[in-house]
Amino acid sequence: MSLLLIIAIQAAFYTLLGLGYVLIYRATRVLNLAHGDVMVFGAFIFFQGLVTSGGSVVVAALAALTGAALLGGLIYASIMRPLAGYPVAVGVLATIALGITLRSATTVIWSGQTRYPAEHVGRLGGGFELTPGVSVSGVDALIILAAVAAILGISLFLQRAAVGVGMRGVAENVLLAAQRGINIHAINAVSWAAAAMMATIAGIFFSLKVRLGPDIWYVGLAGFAPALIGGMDSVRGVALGALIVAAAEVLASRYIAPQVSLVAPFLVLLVALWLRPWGIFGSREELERV
Amino acid sequence: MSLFSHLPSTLRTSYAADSRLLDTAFVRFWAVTGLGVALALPLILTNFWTGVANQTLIAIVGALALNLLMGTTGQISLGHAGFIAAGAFTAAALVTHLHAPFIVTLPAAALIGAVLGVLVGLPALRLKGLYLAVSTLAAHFVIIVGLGQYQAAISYGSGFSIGPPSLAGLEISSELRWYYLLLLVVLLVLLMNLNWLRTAFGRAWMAIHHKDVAAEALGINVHVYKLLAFSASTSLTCFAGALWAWHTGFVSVEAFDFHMLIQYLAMVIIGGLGSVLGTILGAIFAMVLPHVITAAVEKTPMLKGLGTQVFELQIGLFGVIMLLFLILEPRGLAGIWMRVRAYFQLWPFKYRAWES
Amino acid sequence: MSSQGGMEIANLEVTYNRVIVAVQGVSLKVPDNSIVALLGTNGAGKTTTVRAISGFLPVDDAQIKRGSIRFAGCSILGLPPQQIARLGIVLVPERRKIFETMTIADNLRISRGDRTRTAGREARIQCLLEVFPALAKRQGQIAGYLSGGERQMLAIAQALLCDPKLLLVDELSLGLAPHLVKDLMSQVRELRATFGISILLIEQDAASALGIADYGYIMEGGRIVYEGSAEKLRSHQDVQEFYLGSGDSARASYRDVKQYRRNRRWWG
Repeated sequence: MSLLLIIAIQAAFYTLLGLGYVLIYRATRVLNLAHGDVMVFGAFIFFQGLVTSGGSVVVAALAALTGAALLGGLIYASIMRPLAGYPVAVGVLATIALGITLRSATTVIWSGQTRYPAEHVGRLGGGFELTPGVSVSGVDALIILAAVAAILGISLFLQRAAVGVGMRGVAENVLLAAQRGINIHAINAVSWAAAAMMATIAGIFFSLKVRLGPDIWYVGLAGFAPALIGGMDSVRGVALGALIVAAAEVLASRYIAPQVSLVAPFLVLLVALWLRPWGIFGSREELERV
Repeated sequence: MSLFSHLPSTLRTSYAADSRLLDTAFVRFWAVTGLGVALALPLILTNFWTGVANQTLIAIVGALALNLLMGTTGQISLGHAGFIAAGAFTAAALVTHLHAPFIVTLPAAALIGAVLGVLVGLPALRLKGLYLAVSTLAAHFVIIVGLGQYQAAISYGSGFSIGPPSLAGLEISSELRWYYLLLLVVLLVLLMNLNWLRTAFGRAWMAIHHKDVAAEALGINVHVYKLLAFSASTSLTCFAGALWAWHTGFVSVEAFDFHMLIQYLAMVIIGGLGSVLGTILGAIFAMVLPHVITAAVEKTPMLKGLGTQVFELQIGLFGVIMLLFLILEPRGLAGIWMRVRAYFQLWPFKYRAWES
Repeated sequence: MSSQGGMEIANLEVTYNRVIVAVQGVSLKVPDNSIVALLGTNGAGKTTTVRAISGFLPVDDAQIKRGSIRFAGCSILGLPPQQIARLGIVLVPERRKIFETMTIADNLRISRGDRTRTAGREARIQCLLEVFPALAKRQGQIAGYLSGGERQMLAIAQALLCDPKLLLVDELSLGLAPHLVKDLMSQVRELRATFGISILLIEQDAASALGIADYGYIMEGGRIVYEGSAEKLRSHQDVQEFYLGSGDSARASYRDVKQYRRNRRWWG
């Protein structure tokens, strides 16, 4: 597969994850270090759905998305909402604690074994030719489509929909939003639910392509790098951040050494933090606010 | 400032009185009692539990280092496990390549820690809160992967063994000997920590914690002090890492994973951010709880079926406890201690004129 | 649009950080369809009172220790800000806070009022754009680039779109040129006629406020020291001297008069 295509697929994966981080940050001003574990939990629900329904991807996906949405809302209501007034550090620590709790729950429910959901799916939508000589599998094409749809859909939603405008208000000035009668708790819960759903989609793709196990939370965690590089409060920044990190990862793996791809996101992140901490499209005030 | 610095329980009429460590009879009593108990402990504990006590003592050093940064300056560090690894590997490398003695590796680790602190801190410290945390997290991953490569290259992936240390001719090969050595180290580190808060440095750090813009207006060079705090913290952390390496006898990069970071974060959170007493309580809690859970699982036939998942359950339980503390009592065990103490001090009244 | 009884504050006491008493024994009424002015200098406790009404005290670690705030007969103590806004008490905040990154149009669309009235929102937006034509001209402009006067108009319009029964206007005149203040004040007076709402004006600029108010309260040091109809306030010697800037200036010093003679007068 051509290098560009590999980068595009990886960037799509990072876009889905990064959007989750950004939505959560815009809502509750916290870096959700449990996002990787949410991704794994959602992917496991998908796997369970596959097994229980005898290989129906649609049923499994619906179950996973519903479960993820509920999980996201529950996390907001039970943890983030009570911690609303506290400093950012407390929120971040809470997400760390949440992450390990989720991971533990995942292992207890489904055991720590590695699973291969691809085995349960009949045909993975085969491959098809993109251009002469370059073919892409169905799964890969779907993830690129999903990422594009997510970015466009969310941008449009934030601009046009009533709830979207409310989300922008909450992201800018939550006190003022409350004064204007906006139901900030409902909006934040929706943000968390949407973020969980997108993480789950990313997790489903990863588990189908590679494998599923509680240890892949690391992959989900690396997703915060694109979000930060693009700007923690910027939706369009995620796409650019994802491209940059994906390119760095793939090129480093190809031209330096495969192990470097593990740390590539964090190295790029460190450079970005050094040069432009608030991200490419992020707002500079964010730096002072936290 | 004393160990129990958060409540204005007594009236101080001079600076000297205010900065005395063992300021009230209450504190003096408990300090003496605590010391007595600590000295006598190995006589009543089995060898296994003395080993646990030793791990706890090392953890106290590491936790105090984390608390120094997070509790006093309000900065958040997620790179802790990486720095402990750096200290452990410094000791391992010095022993492997230079056959360095115990007494040399400790200050060497501290020095490496200070340097690392400056390297990581310099670019990161103009950032705040979230962004600083992320930098430390990224630094952690970079350090761990780098050390992993070193381990693969030098020891072919199997890790480093370090023999029992010798101090002034005496070999520290039993848990008992380790205990008294570590107890001494902990007491020294404790004194150092408490003293820090009494110095100009310490006051500057606390000012930065409360409002760094105001501190800057008062003429405190915020950047220098932040860097100093960060450096001091990583230095002490690497020192703890070296101790860890010698006590465990074996150094391999897998030991320094997220789980270790979470353990230390749990110590500081559950104990109570910013409080030295809290950190000690938190360290004891975090190191002893897993053994309590294992023992409980052994005794309960119903839970025994979970077998290998006990480890995961422990971690999950940590997570839940941390969440509960964060939501309900952010001042941790120290906070609970203060409430209990206030209750007894104030009884039969319910409220005091003001709260600190 | 009447609220059957207006707002009544009785014996309010607010403390910050459990120690500092900012407001003590404050009682005031804003009847239906009236304009009431709450006057006083900096630090008098006006903003604290407004925060208490709109539910924002927890943000600053402040508590209501005593007293009650009733609106349309029901107590609103302890309700979250969103709910108070939906009950019909809407705050136009100090310093004209609006959503700076959003357009004027979005700023207007974002307000949420009483759930049953979402149907007519577009119509109400149009109505408000007629009241504030300066806003109508540039609906697509990012709000952060507006001038002070336009921002104040947008802030008021945004608040009005929450369908208020009582509008709290905090420091309208702050930082605005006098002629702008005059225009805005008369527009505020129009609001009462056009929308039938009552208005509580929190102001340092006593002259402007008393120009449009029916009734007024004067706060000093956290207490109400004088109240009366606007006419009565305008003709009171001390009000004239300390809040309206007239009266003879042959006093020894502000401090002397403030502490000694005024105490005699307020309760004399």
